[in-house]
Amino acid sequence: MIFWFLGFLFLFLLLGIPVALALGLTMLAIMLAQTSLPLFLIPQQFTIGADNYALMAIPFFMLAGEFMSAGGITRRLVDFVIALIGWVRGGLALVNVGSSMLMAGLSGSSVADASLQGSMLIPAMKEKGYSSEFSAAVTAVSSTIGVIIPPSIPMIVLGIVTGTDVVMLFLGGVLPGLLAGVALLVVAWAMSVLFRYPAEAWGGLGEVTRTVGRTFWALLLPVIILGGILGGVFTVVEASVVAVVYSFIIARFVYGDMSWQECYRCFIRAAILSGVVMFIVATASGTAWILTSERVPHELAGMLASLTGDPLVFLILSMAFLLLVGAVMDLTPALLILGPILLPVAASYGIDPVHFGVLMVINLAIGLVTPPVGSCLYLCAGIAKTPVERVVLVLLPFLAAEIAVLLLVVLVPSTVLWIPSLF
Amino acid sequence: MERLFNLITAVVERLVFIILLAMTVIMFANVVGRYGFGTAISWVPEVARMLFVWLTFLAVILGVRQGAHIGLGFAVERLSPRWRPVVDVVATLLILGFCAVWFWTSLFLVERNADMRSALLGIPMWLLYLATPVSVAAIFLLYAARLAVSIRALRRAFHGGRAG
Repeated sequence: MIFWFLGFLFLFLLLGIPVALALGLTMLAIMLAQTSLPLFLIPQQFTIGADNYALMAIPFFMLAGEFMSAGGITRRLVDFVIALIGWVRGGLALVNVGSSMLMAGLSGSSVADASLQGSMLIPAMKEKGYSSEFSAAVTAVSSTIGVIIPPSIPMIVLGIVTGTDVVMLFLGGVLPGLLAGVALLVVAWAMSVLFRYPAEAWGGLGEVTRTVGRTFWALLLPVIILGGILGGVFTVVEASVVAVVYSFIIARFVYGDMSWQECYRCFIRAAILSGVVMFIVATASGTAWILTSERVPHELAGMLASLTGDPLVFLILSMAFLLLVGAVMDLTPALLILGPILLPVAASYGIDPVHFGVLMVINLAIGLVTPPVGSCLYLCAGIAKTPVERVVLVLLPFLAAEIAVLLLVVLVPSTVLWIPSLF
Repeated sequence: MERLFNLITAVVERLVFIILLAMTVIMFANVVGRYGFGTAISWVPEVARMLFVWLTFLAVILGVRQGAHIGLGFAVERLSPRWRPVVDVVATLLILGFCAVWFWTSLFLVERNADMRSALLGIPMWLLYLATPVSVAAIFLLYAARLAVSIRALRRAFHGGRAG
């Protein structure tokens, strides 16, 4: 059954069919070939998959993200980080990583982070004498932190399709996200020293306080969202809708950078972005349902158990497998397809679902910058106007750092589980 | 055909805007009610969820129109100009076949839920299930137009020398 499933799915994907429709076709093919279930279960499972209160956070976070970029909130946050750490050698590279970490607390999507930061920081970096490849590489790789630090749209969908507590996943992502950020900062700094990249002028504490003043309302946003969710004040959905209203007021009335026309376009873009994700969520929950009712995770767990009984061997094997999958598939589809299969198997080895879920996200996020399919990599190489192959070369030390963090999180489960255990 | 699609896009865009705006307003009102006045509005989650399902399936149409849906393009993009249209035609036919099944089964689902009503407000459940056939019908049309384009490309690829 698992081979039928993967075989059909891979065939349809190779034909260039979009993931959501390929999943639907796979479900249809399996139902016709392997079961005698009535076909109306297809649209029924899709609708059930889409009809989920908690998933409403997706369009809301997307909309808040659109308001933040249209309203100049993102630009002000970057200015703040420049004033704060720009004076170190390789200043703009470090700012790139630092503002990704800050933005990660807002947008929940790596591709959105990459396009925003890329369009602002890549031209600025090139102007200051950083190479195009380095500028693209550091922007691409730092955007992957966006899905590890909460709020994270991939974690929301993973939590919902696998029945794992989303807030626990969020909390579990905090420390690994910070670790990954620090690792990337160190690599960016070391490479900047090596290539003799410049530092920005230190504007003094006065400049820092001035930018804090200008960015105050923008800086309050991550405090409200993260504090609200992690402190248990808001549910994730409530936090997302508060983020929409807050960022709208800042963008339209406080900073006044967003026109009504732009505001309308924000709604449409957010709806389409959310539709793309939700279409995969709907079809993937259909296939997940049929795989579960045919006891596929059980079957797979049995097969793997006969290979190895050691949880660590299983973890390392599955991480290697996921790195390969991440190279050819985007984060969210891979998470939605494999999460419902692998999480129960991991549980049968006694691995905590929150630990495994966070590992899946970190691992597949690395895939966002590895060819042949790496949406953040291609996006940033495109903005920097440089061939992808040359960016990959500069990317290697950063990838090594991310894989080191991944290994650390594999070997030390408390990096994930310590913070959730406090709540 | 292009004019029809432009019309559909314009209508769907407006609907999507109104739905997302309405979701934001009622959900925010509910948050304000819960924290400001200590009373949540009981029907909000029910209505918001129904709006959300419509938002998703309508936005999917716009996504198909803009080619925004994620796929694994790298294999197809490396095919020779001769074989690319063949694969495109096969893929589009598979999608159309799936959409046809999806359309008929989802209509059946609308009919099946004709008498069902939602728990709080008594909204007819077929309204929820109607989102899929509407969306699939539009997706089918968009891919049918794409099939015509791929078939033309196929003809050119195999009869390139001759006219037509």
